[in-house]
Amino acid sequence: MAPTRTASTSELATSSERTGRGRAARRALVLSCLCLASLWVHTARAEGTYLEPQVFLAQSFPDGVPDPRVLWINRALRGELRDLLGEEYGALRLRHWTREQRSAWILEAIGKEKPITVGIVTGEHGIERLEVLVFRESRGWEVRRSAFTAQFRSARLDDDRRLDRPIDGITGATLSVRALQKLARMSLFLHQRIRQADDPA
Amino acid sequence: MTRRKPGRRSARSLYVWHRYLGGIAAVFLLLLAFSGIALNHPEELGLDETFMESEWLLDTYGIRAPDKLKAFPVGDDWAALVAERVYVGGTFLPGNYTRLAGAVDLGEMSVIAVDNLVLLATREGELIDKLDGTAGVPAGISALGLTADGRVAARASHGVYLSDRDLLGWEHPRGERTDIRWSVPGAPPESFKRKVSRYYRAHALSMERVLLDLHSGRAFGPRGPLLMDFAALVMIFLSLSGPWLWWRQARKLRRTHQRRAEGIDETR
Repeated sequence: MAPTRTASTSELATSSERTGRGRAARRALVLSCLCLASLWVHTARAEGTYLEPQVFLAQSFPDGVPDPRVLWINRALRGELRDLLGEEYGALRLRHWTREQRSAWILEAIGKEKPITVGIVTGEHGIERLEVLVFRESRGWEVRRSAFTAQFRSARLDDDRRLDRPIDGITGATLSVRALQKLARMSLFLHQRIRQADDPA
Repeated sequence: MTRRKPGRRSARSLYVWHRYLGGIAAVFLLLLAFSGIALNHPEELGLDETFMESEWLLDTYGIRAPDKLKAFPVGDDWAALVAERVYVGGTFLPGNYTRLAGAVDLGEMSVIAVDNLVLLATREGELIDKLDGTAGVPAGISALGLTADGRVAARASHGVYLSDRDLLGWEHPRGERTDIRWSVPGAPPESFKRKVSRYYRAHALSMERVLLDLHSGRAFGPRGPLLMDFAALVMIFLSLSGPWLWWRQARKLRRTHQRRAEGIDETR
């Protein structure tokens, strides 16, 4: 009977090293796959419709969405908006949904290259709610996070028609942040306008 | 015969390489520096609003308006879809769209159905409003028309809808309407097509795009980025060889000074 060969100590050590290395390699592979998957998910979520405008309106007016009203942007108002935004607003009329002291606006501004659609509710105490509805850029989507948009709650305009508080930016999303700030100011300005029109006294 | 030490030979050849590669790299470095500074300030410089009009450059980029365009007559003008842009009143409306379903003329205003939206535009091509589901625009519009009493009609996924006078709401008509004239795509005249082509080419290539392509090397063809990669490697070589040569030279000078100082001491 042939003698059974038993592994030497060094062979055993080498074998256990190989097993250990194999386990480490498998762990590294799994971790890499998870990282790549999370990156894909992160990227896949960047652009898209986060909240349908109709749903935004329904949430903002739980007792029923009022009929839309139209605000025509005449020459004077156009000039004021241009001063406020630093650029032309690309439409000649704006729809708003107003009941009593509250108004909802669905506005768009260009981030880097594509428009960002934002829903804003304005009231007696400033901005009640600001939501990113549709984001079309590939970067800067972090502005839709509630931690960022919550900064706009209760924001008002100061005497210079600027927001009465600083808004902390997001690295890599400067243009998107700027776009949202512009729309916040615009909604507050327009809210003042329709309040003056509805209640001149 | 004087023999050079091997170390000195390699230092000399390194110096020669540093000198010649430095000359080559200088060209790329200037290109990267100038384009990089400009790209850091695109808004201030208006790079995305400045368009290139050079015919040679536009031809190099292969920018050509599509030969076939879908267009609907609106009054004495046309509304056309050109490379995902709506052209009406001599200009593009803001936004990108993939489908043009119909267009009607309301006198002072054109009503244009694209994707799941209805665009209202002046005769001069200014956007009045962009209507979506919040204005009750029905989903899946396949045609747009006008009733005899001037209301806008839309044929959509769930039937025919009529808009109110302000185009703020849509509803099913009571009973079947047989007076709707549906808009039909037509063949615009060659003069219109030439105008569209000129306008398209004049607004297709921004200065920002050209600078980006120069900066990345893509302006030099498919292998352009590799050329920039090579330039980057050359700059890495220079940034390593430069200090190395400086250090060698400094050490050599120190030794020369030391020897001179020792030589003076010995002669005293």
